[in-house]
Amino acid sequence: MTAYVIRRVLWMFPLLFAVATITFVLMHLTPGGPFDVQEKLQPAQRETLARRYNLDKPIHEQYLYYLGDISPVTYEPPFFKTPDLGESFTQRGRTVNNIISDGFWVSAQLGLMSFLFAVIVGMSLGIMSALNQNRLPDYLGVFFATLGAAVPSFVMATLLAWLFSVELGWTDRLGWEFGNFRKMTLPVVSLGLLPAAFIARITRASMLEVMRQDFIRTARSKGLAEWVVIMRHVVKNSLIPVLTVAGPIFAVLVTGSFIIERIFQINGIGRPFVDAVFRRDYGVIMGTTLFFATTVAIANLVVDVLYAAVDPRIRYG
Amino acid sequence: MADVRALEGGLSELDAIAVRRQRGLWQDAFARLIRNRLAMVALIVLVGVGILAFLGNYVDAVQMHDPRFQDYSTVKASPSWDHPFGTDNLGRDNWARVLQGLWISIRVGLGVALAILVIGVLIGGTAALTGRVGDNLLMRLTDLAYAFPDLLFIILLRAVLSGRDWPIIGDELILIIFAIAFVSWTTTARLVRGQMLSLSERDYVIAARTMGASQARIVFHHMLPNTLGPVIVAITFAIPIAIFAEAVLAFIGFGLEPPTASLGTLIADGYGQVRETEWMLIFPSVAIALLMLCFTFLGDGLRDALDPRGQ
Repeated sequence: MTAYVIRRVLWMFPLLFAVATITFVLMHLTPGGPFDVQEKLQPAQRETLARRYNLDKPIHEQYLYYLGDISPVTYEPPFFKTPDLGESFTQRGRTVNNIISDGFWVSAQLGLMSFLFAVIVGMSLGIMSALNQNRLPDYLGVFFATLGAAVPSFVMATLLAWLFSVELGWTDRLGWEFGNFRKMTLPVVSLGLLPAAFIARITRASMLEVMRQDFIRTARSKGLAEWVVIMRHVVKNSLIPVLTVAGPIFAVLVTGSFIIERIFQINGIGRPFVDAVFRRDYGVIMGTTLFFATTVAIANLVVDVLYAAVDPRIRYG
Repeated sequence: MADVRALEGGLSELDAIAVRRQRGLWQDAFARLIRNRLAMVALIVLVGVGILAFLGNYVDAVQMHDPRFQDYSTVKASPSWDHPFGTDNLGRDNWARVLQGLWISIRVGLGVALAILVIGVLIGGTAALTGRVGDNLLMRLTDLAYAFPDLLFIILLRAVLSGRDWPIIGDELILIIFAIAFVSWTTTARLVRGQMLSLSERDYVIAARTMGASQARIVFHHMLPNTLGPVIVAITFAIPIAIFAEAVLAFIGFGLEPPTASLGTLIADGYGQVRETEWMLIFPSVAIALLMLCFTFLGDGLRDALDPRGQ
């Protein structure tokens, strides 16, 4: 187990190095310089800017500077530093580290609430479906799961905002405030719907699988109350496959946040990323991409380790 | 009487079995697909929408108005006989614009499907046939693809692949298709690889090899056709994802150039005007939801039809 965890952690370094390299290459392949879309600049200003962002150096030197900046280790004591994810090319004096520290908590709250929503709604629906297989509640559950998986999150978000904010006036259309349900409900629901549908499907399938097993029949035949059988034996054992989708769900939440934060004008980190793409702010694009990839990689790592820890049947070879 | 009917029932069942024996894998799968009502409805709707979208882009009688024409006398008109889906804030006909968007979405979906079929079969097949080195390389590549959130990578690639005036593939729509396909081929490649590896150990492949069939014949005649089933399913599921990706690009303002109406652009515009002209939001939203839902149902049906064990 320890060896497995160590190997998994070590594997993250080449992975993130590859991600950093790919992002760097992609940004330098993008047509047009970073300052082309801005207002007309004098040649001298252009030169100053280029020097400031090291753009006048040959490409391999730029790459080395970039790697040095983002690396979390240095050759000077104490050998660790905060990775410097670069500067914004369009907003003077703003760094990616600023952007992330400003928006992180809001994005984390949104992501966490959506995750909770997805787990609670998805599991309840999945359990309800499985316990009433091929009856009305099951059909409703499956219908919801299919709809949630097929309708894009931004379509859902805009339609919900139209219905509940514009027509009914029950919720606010813009912004985010932790604890304020008028502001939280729509973003959380629209971001959490796809993962909820995901979880509902998996929970249903996995419950049906477990309910057919011998040990469930044994539990029933030794006279356990039905709800004990369901809660203690069926649900607990059907959780394992659900855990496997936690990694992909994290990625869905991260990419979903780009759109949801934009629609509801929430100042997280997804919105600056999309704005940066729009403004061709390569500094911010590279930095935030790296940040997102790192968080997703860490999330995948945690899920894999948890998975191996929860299910002793899995051999982590 | 009852006995006779029962006997007839039994006989027709026997007939059915006898008939079924004569059918191959594909006919069997096709029969199962036809019996799946939801998938058939989805297929019919898809064909209908596809024809409508095609006619709506190339036949004036269906399109009725030019999707780019700004008629300032009918700004923000609600749905009517002349403008079935209403008009937008610049007086453009929403019906023509939704049809244009649908046609773009369908082309993106099918284009990406075709691209990942080619890339996936080539890379997956090569990995399975070239042994360890190619195999390891592919697995590391797919690991990498898992670490990169799809949409993030697509957005970056879209930035790289925009405003290029390359011959033939320099078309913006084709560049978008490439940006999406370059990110989504990994599942198919993995699938092809897995299938090929397991097939190469099957009795009939070994038999073919024993009889002296050439490697090319074994690959193209025996192995590739048998990987097709799962690959078709995977690709059908990739279509709604591709349609979604294009719509997201358009929604955040990174799709086709403005006068062209992609469904994502229409939804973004409609959301901006939602207080006054809700039809600008509702029609394109329903259109894309319908399209994605139908492809998903079709994929479900195909999976059940091609893999009877999965039920």
